[in-house]
Amino acid sequence: MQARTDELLTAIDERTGNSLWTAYTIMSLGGDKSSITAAAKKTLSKSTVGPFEVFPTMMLVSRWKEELPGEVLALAKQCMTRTVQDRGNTENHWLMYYSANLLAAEYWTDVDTWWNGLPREAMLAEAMRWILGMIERTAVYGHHEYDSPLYHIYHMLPMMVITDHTRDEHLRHQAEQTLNLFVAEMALEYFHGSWAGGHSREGYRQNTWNRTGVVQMLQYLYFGGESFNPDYHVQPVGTFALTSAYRPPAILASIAIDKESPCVVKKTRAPRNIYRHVAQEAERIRKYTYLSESFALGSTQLGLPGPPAGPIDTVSWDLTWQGPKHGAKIVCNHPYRDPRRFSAFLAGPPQVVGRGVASDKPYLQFPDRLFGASPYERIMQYEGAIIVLYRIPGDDEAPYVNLYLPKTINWTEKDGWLFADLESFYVALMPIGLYTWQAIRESNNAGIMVTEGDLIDGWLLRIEDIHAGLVLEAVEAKGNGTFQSFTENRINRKVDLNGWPDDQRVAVENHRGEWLEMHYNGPHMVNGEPINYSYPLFEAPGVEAELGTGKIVFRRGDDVLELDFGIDPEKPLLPMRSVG
Amino acid sequence: MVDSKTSWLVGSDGLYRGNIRSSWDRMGSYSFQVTDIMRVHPGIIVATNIGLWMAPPDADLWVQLHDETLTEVQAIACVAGDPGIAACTPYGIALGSRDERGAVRWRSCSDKLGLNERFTNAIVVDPGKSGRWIVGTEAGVLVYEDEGKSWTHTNLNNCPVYAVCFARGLFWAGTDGRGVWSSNDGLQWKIAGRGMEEEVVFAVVDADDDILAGTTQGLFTGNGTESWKRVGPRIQITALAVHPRERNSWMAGSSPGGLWYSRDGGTSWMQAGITGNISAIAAPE
Repeated sequence: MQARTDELLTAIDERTGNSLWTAYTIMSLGGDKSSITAAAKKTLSKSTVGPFEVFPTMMLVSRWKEELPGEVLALAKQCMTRTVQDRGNTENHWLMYYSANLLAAEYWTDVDTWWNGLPREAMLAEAMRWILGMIERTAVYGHHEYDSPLYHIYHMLPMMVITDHTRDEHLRHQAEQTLNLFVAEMALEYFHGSWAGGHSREGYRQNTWNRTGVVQMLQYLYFGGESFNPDYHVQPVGTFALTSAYRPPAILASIAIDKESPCVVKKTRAPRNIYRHVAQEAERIRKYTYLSESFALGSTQLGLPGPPAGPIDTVSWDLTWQGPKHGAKIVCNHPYRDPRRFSAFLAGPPQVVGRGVASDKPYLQFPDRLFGASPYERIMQYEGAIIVLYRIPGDDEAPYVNLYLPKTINWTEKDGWLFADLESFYVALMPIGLYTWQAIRESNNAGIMVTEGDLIDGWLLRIEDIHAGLVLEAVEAKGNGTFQSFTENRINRKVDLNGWPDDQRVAVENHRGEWLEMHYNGPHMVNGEPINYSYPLFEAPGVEAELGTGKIVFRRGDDVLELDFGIDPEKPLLPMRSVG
Repeated sequence: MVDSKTSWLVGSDGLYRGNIRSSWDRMGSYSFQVTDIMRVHPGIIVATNIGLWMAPPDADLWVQLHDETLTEVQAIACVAGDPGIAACTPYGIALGSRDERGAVRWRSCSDKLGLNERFTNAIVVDPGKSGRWIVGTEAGVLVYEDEGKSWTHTNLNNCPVYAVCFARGLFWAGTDGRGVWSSNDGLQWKIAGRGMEEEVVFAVVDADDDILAGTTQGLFTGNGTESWKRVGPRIQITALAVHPRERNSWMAGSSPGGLWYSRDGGTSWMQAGITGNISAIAAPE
């Protein structure tokens, strides 16, 4: 790991920009401090700052306070103790805000009254309560802003800075345990440089890529497992991780790169924060990810309470494998557009919220959208097979489903099935409903004309049916004959659509002859046995993690990692007040 | 220097003070979306989308009143105690009390309610009984009695209520798609007036001769028993206030559309210099 650390530090130095996030590298490698002063002046002279300013400020001060130019330290103190701060509204925002204020309040003990007009000790106490409460809630019911390749690093970095620098021993211990937990989250679903399975949030319009997110740097740093590639692994925002004292236990790297194959990973995640327009609270989320040698198929039981609840960033399922950027993912999505899906988790008049969010992020309302939850989607997965069904109201703005297929594959069609030979594995998929074969190409730079599809570039099958669906099965080539025999076997296996849509039931025989039966709002059954979705916190080879206990044990051979967050079952958990 | 007492206060992306005939200045550098405003001398309580604050009269920095459990404060009301504020949020109504460090800690009154019943948009304290609150929620109007910590459902239900006020001896409620309703006791409601039965109403205020209702179609005026009359631009009015002495001076905030005012009782209107979404207006004292 030290070799990878040195490799990354050197590479990041070559790409340093003028921000407080990369100022860390300059200090670490003894670079030109005048650029740090310039960055500090630019960033910290604003009249209002937010989590993305205060956190890198304290990240820098905590580690380098003795060596920083006096002007930078003075600007940092002014910012943290006298400048108006915006707490933000997502979990990563609040974690950055509270960790920064906690560390600042611990450090600048000569300040009696904080920027918010309260005594310094009051800020410290509030930050301590929220951070410890967030940790406990994560350990009990699962991470709220779960498994995000883009945002996970903004949970890990605050915990790292706290672990390295807080003066409170209990908080330090809990933060370090949380780091181990967060690394385990990554490790369990690590797949050849990417994070398999569903995500609360992936990148924006990046869920058709096989590798996404700044988390790739941490994956490479902690797990190794592949050759260094600066395009994936150099993420300057994560520089603190390179010089932090925190190093995860080796067992977690082993879990990541030395998995028994195939394996199933199950996770429970915290319920979504839906607070109006629906009759009941959302249920806990259950993730199921099947990691095979050549591919990973993951899906999510989102537990949504019905329309208009449809978390806007959620990626509920996909099939991924190693391949080119736009050429190694299959995903489908109902691009649900009801504007009340915004006001279901954002305050203010719904008539104002809907248009406001859509104005800030117009791609959230694109008709070709491939991410974001739909209240009409239901999924059943068993190992490498998945059934996805939709019952979309006839008056919905998007009475269809989008299915993304890579263009880099030569697809074959027979008897309603589409087949792909990926050499090491085979894929068969059957769209349910009439579809049209389109192309999709979206770009970051679309001001005048889209010339390259750097965001999305592939086939878009538009399934024009309010009762659309998809059956998909992926199998390893090894042990499953030739591609030809696979396709014949698949065609000859039963697919029972007689109960769809009227009886809300679809049944499929998988390649081994096992019978998967899915009722849209009813049981999901394998060979007649209903699937039990009452998952523990984690269920995976070598992992014991009963839900609600805050105790997790990882075992690999003689190696054991035990986490115990000391949860008091009588003490109520911190209420969730942030989104995401 | 602008005097907060004699100025209009407008809640937008920050708290603005000014007068119709002059420019607006933002109080401090806070750009949070302001959702409600309450004058408590010498300062101003400011409800925002990220918490609750007390703005001292001429200081740049506000004092935080929220804690880690209070955010997205939609409306506030003056109640007994210290800090003496009932804070309405999507998670219910919260009451605060000071801890040993002087910070305010909040506890919910709404835990036993259902999801939409907890989501609170508006509140008015019963002028005849200080511990009794008429509350507009996403599920309709509910009545809270602090004495027994109890909630009572009313017949104005299954419909979001965005505004409540007390005027002319009656309670008034603005609903989502069912117009304006009125009640003698806050429990039994009936539709008020004619011609607004399907309107979405975000704001309801008293203007002596009339009740003013801010809707998605602009402003409606009426006495609550006869027909309502629509006046002014077709803007989505989310905040309203009437000058306490110049009763024909009306200020309307729209989202979108910014700030508008009328000096002739709604006959003509002009934009007033703030173009952001307006969620709250407090008239001069």
